[in-house]
Amino acid sequence: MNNDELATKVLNAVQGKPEAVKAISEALAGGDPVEIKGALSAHAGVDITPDEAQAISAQVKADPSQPAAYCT
Amino acid sequence: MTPARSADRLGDREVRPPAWVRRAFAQAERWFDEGPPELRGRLAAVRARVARAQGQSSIEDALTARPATPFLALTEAYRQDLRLPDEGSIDAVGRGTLALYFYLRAQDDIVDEPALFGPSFAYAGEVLAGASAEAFASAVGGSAAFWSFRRAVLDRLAAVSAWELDVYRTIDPAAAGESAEADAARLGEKLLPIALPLAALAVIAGDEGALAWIRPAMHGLATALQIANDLLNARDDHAGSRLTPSLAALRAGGRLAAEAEPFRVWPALASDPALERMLRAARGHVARAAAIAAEHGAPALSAATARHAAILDEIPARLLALSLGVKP
Repeated sequence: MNNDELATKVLNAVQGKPEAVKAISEALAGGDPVEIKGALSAHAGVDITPDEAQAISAQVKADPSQPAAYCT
Repeated sequence: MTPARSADRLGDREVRPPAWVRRAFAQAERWFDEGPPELRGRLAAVRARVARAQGQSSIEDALTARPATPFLALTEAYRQDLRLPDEGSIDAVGRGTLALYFYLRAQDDIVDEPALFGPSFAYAGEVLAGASAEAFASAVGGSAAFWSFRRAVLDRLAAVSAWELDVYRTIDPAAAGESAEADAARLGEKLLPIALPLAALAVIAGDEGALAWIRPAMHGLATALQIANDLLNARDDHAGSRLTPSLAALRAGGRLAAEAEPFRVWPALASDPALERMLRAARGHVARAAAIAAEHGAPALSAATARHAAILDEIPARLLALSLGVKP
């Protein structure tokens, strides 16, 4: 699963679940692949491999590829 | 344009863009393409910046696809409340509104992005400011009520923007965290120009008295949308050392140091009580704004005001999507 597919799967899984959004975000803010893998499994029901966790961690730390896209 | 997309315009999934909006964009393209030859390069840069900042390829897409700027949807809603025709004066108001928007965006970029938009971009801004003033003049003539209102609104925009640069961005973030809601309300005046096309419509309809409630109502919505803007742009603001009330609230909670890596900002915000704190403040402003409009016989404007608050409910998931590196 590439990063985009994984991110989409996570976002679909946490729709309407604010506590899951918070828990996963907390893990992402830490940047630790092990914590991220655990949070995705526990709060989104998405199980990923250690390599995928590394890739997600790298993606989170990379410069944004998307504009925040909200200019009033 | 696909049918699905056209129904998702003006920040309102149920409203298709009225003809006056398309006519205003056609005119806007002419300002950029047919401005003084000496300034066309700068005007082109302003146009490209507006489109790209929203992840779009055209200014019309950038300003009408969700989440859209509120200028156009609010104008259309209040036009309906006032039962004004969908051609004639509204065309002038539409042109004045778009030119005003581009002028303000250019001004903002000159201040915040000096490496890309140097001081000479003020000349491109002047072209757009002049186009806006000319269009509003053709809509409202010499109405003292409108021009005084316009001056007061733009004076506050200038004063608050200077205060932000000179004072707000230099204060202790811990103290700023305590006053985040009050500071957000003050900085909300930067978006108060959304009230200008509404004031023009009220004058056209012969209801100058409406200007007294339009300003506080739109200050409420402006504050809410400025908070939304600050939340979603928090990573850039943190990286650029630009303090905002939302960043101040986050830092006050101890979850984000001033020197923290930028990647931590979006997910830290999405998982911190500061997010709910600022969203609660924003929702309160929107509710009051919508109530003011409703109390003054403007139900469509009230509804459009409330609909624009939908972005607030989407922000936690948008922050998570941005954190994961995908388009919200």
